[in-house]
Amino acid sequence: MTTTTSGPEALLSHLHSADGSATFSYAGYTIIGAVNGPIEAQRRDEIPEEAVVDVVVRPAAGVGGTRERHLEALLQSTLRQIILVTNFPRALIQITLQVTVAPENEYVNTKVVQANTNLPMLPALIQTAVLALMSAAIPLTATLTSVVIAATTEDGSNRDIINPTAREIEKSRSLHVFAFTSHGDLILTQSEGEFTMKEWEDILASAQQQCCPNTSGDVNMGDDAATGADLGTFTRSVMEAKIASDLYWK
Amino acid sequence: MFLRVICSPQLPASSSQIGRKNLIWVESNGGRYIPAVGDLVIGTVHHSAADFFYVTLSDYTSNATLPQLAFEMASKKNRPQLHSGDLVYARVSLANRHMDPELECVSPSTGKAEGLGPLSEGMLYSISLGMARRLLMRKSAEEGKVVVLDELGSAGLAFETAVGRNGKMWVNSKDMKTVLVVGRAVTETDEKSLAVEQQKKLVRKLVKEMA
Amino acid sequence: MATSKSMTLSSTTFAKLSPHPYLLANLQPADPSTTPTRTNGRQPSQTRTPYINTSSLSHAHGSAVVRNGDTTVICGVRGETILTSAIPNYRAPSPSDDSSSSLDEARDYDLLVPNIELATGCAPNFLPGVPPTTLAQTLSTRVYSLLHSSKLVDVSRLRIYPEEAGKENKEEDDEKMDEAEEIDEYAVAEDKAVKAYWVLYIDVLFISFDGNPFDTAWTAILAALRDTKLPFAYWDADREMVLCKPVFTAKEKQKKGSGSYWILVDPDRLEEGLCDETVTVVVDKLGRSTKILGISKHGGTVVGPELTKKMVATAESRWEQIHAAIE
Repeated sequence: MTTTTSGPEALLSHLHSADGSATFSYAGYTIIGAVNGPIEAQRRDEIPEEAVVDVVVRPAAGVGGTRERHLEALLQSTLRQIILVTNFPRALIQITLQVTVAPENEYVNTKVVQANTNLPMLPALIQTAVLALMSAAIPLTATLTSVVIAATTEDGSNRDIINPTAREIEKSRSLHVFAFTSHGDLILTQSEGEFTMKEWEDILASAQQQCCPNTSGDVNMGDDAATGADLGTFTRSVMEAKIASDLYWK
Repeated sequence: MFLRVICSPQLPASSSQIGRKNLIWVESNGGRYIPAVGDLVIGTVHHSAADFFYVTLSDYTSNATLPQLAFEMASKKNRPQLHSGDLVYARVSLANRHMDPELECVSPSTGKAEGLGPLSEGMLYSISLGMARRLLMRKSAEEGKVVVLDELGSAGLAFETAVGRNGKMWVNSKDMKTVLVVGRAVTETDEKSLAVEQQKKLVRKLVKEMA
Repeated sequence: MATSKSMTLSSTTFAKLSPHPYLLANLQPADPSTTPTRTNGRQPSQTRTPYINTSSLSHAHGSAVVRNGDTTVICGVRGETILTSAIPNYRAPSPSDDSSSSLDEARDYDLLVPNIELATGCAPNFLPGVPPTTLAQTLSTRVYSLLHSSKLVDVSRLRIYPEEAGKENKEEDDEKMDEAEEIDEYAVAEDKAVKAYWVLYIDVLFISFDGNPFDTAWTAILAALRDTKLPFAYWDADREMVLCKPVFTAKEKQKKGSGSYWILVDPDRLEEGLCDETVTVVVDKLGRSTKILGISKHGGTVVGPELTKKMVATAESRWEQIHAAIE
């Protein structure tokens, strides 16, 4: 039922001049993330008691605009919650995310689909940022997993599409992005379109199933539930492989 | 349960620090150097002021301070003259999240340099923090599984090295070729994650090429 | 009020020295008999009453001034025409296309152009001569996004048809239409080619800024669009939109360390600066059942599904308030 053709892939610490880096590919997006820090913050930016978290998002083509600023603001306030910012007062932790591949039919009517499609990119950005932060050995309280879900009505019945394509988003009634911490807490919600509270709760449940299948308890969607990749387990296995290769000599 | 995981190349010095609640330290290779008291580091002098040298330990971080009198036998009249760009081998004497780190090139208990001080000539190599930690182990060959330096020594090369916990290695020798071979052996071992046998092979190859 | 003169700081000094403890001291009074109050004297869930004044700009097609406490926003809507021949890659909408989402004219041809400016001096942290702040850019994107995703403006109203087709609607042009009537009127014009479009430039200027910018900006846009009357153009028909939608912003306050938190509805600037988690809910109560048009929450983990539900309920009561002010 899902449109995902392949599972998530990641490559860690491949940029040599950055303190930490990760490339993450999933659901049509490929994003390179680089983390530098803790480094010296500019005098006017520094916070006396905690580290400044700076997020820069660069689109696949052209320079960033208001859409990227919006994504940056969302990422910044989310990542600040999981980074132990009080460990590095007056310092700066800079996270740069460069989108290299975006799904092809982001272009509808030969014009880049704007603003409305802010959201689909968010999970991939979050995932890349978390992997890059871990590659840079920045202390974290938790890791994050995130998913985008579109709700459509087809032949009178409602259907949730996980990782929808741009075209499916166009046709959908509402679009939702959720992010959960590794403890199972909901840390980010972005919902657009038209829906009721009941629908929202159902979509939340299936998002929970996607992101943290172990912590969500007895939520069981049955056989026809769309299955995606278990990103929590994925993050864990990527890190295990990274640590194993770092400590090959032991 | 709330579990806090910290991936860090800098494990706490003693196990007592691991006792913090719900905290796991995971050893890894990457990341930026964060000063800790007692670490041996190689710094680059950035500039000097009346009583201090300002020393860079890693790029884009605030400078560490090194008092001009924190050298062996230093006095008001006889203090080392260091210029911008000079290297020093020092120990971190103060590290605190709220303050810039402080360095010393003399043991406060004995008043002796114990190998610390300005590093003249030679070449500086950047290595990963994990490699620096392995080289700094008391028995780097047995525990850290780095044998390139021992192998190069037994192959008859004469050189000296200093390793900084901040991911720097300084190599000096009378023969420039030796410096390059030593640097290459260590950086290649680091980048290509060579096992003991591969390291020995690499050394044989490098020594052969040199001759 | 027994305050000793020597050791007591005035509350304004306290607020400036350490704003965070100041806010908490008010929310958690030492004397349990006092009810917790916010620094601005409001109860945690009490909003500021919005005041709306429309048609105050003479040169705009529609305008509104919205005042929500000390946040004052002025919004002007100006329509300009663009010929379909001037639109690159123009595809004529087929009559059956109206409801399908494959062609979104408003978005594809950029018929709605919102712009948000935070005037110099509207709050101390906005300096003259700097590029648009992140806040201004973020607001613009959110407004743009919501304008399209909520389908607030009926695109068929922005289409401009040849004269004959337009005539039949002429009488309607000068009076405001109810949203219910919207659809049937243009059915007449279905087989006429669209000659041009109205482009609506929606400019929002913050005159003074004291928190809760998105809510106030959106209210101003609603009121201004509702007020908008486009002139009758010759081979053009014209305007009208309106769907009443309230916006409500609640701010989550989380105290560091301990597990307690406060929810402050309609936060002012001081509160906004000290809070980590923000929740914005957009609801439409015009139909029989409440429709949610957007939920945006970020910056913390306090608000789970249960609290979100409560937020929606608060948004519904805020809707009533704004609906009353706008009418």
